[in-house]
Amino acid sequence: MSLHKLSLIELQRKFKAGEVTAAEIVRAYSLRISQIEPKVRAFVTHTQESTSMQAESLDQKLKSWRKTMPLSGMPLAIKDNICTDGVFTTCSSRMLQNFVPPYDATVIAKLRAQDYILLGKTNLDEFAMGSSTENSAFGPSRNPWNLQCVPGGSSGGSAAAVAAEECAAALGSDTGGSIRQPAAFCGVVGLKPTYGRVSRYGLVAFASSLDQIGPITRNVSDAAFLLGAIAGHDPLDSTSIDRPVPDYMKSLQKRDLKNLRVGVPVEFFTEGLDPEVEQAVRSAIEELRHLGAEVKEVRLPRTDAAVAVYYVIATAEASSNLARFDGVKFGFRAKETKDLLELYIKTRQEGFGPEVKRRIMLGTYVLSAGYYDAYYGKAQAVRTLVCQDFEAAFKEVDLIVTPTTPTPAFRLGEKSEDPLQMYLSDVFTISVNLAGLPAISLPCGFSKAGLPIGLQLIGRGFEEETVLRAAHAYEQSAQWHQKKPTIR
Amino acid sequence: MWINQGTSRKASLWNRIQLSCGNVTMEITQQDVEKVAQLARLAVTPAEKDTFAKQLSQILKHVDKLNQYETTGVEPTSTVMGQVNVFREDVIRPSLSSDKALANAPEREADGFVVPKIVEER
Ligand SMILES: NC(=O)CC[C@H](N)C(=O)O
Repeated sequence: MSLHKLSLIELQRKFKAGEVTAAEIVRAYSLRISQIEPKVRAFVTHTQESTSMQAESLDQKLKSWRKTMPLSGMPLAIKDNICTDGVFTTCSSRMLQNFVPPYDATVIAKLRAQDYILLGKTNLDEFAMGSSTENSAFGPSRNPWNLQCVPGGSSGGSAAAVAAEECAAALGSDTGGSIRQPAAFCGVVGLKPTYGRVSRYGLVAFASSLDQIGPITRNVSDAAFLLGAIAGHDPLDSTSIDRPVPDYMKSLQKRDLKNLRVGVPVEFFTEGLDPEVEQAVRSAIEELRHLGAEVKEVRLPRTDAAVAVYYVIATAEASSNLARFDGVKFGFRAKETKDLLELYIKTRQEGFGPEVKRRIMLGTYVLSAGYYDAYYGKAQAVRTLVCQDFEAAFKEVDLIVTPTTPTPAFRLGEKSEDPLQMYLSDVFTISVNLAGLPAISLPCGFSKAGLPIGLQLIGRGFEEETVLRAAHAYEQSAQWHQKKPTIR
Repeated sequence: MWINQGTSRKASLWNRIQLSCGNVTMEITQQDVEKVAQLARLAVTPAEKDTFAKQLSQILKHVDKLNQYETTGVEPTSTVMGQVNVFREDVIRPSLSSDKALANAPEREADGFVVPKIVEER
């Protein structure tokens, strides 16, 4: 069997048992990437050369003392807004095209301490702003299930790389759905942890009150495994929370869902929901019932406000976070400027793409004097209402189940001229970030056109175990994860 | 900056917001775009001015939805999982060497970043 076909955990078992070497793993993936990448374009930076050296020295080390760590030798892809010491981190922006971080993000330091293998950095919408990777300064990635379709975004490169078996697993980031939506579009598993579960140190900040790093994988066990490796408190991120990290793999052992109350929010099943998506999700809900869950309707009446709240809060935070890109200490600098003001303006004008500018302008506007209360203050208050909806629902149920997206993957170019349409396609994922909750997307079927459909399971804060347990039980009985794309 | 440009403009924009609360669409003009760009240290081409004005108006029209929700007495949310300010001892820790810190500088000289002259000569 070709090594690229193995899941993360299967590969880990083989490596641990000494049945494969790190060098063999790297060779298998280099070959796979060289075949697939011209079509899918999931990566912005390949690290093949340093990777081979890394693999060889790992094999050497293990020869004299065979003690592997859980992620030793595991070939991963990392979204290119997560800082990797000595390896380009571009955010798919001209602004950071030549930026080489002098330090590792905490999640990377954790992976590195386990001798993981970095296969490359994956494409994203510039600064993670978008839902299709079409906002990347380096061109879009493609959906492995249909190369005319987008892989979703912003972590589209990571999701496409996992679906196309160009890596064993990947990391993404999720501010308003950027892990779950591309996972849904590409037919893989994507988990956004609770806000504060995983350190954001070294993640290039987009909207700091919403951003979280999480795994994108081929199945639920792999997601549980990878989450365990990156979760935990970090003194370098004061919003990370000091709580013990449970053994997420253990939570998968229970296969039935007895005593689990699952809520179906009526607000998610209205007009705009594609009938094929609705049908797939409704059958999945039946399956959960079949597995022993008690299913009931719940209400999240303020769901409708989520996109509006998000586009005020996320852009406000972004306008402030992105003020640091001024052409002085790192990143792009415009040529031939006569004074400091012109240096700032030209640098930002030439370094940022149109979507990033639009967001910075919107964020600057909603924070400016005279508008702050009407927009920013108002959005923060409605955010409270969105959180209260979830609190009320979670008094009655332990888990909420919804479609991840209203439609399967759309075509390249279909929404790129109409920002509002693009924003509205994120209605089902955004409220989860506003409330900081953990949520997973996993495949629950395919459209007639052969595109994957995603199921979203949302849990209470820090109850990733419940989310993973239900997702795993469903996955094991439905078996959608066995289906792989034919890339052509 | 436009916020300091006299109250008449501010008042008129403010009136429009109030109107928008009554579901009258908030229009962003090309002048508004120019002012915001200036605040954000961005430049906009005439073509961009036009598209941004239209797109931002459209987005803000959607944002007007928020006014359908009654929020009197509702506490604003800025963080969700009970995070509070975290303090630490002010101690010296290892940090980046100046060489590493300067490695990404667009322009450097010795141990510093080079920028255009800021202070005028007398
Ligand atoms: N990073 C994200 O989660 C992006 C979410 C959403 N698509 C946006 O454009 O902002």
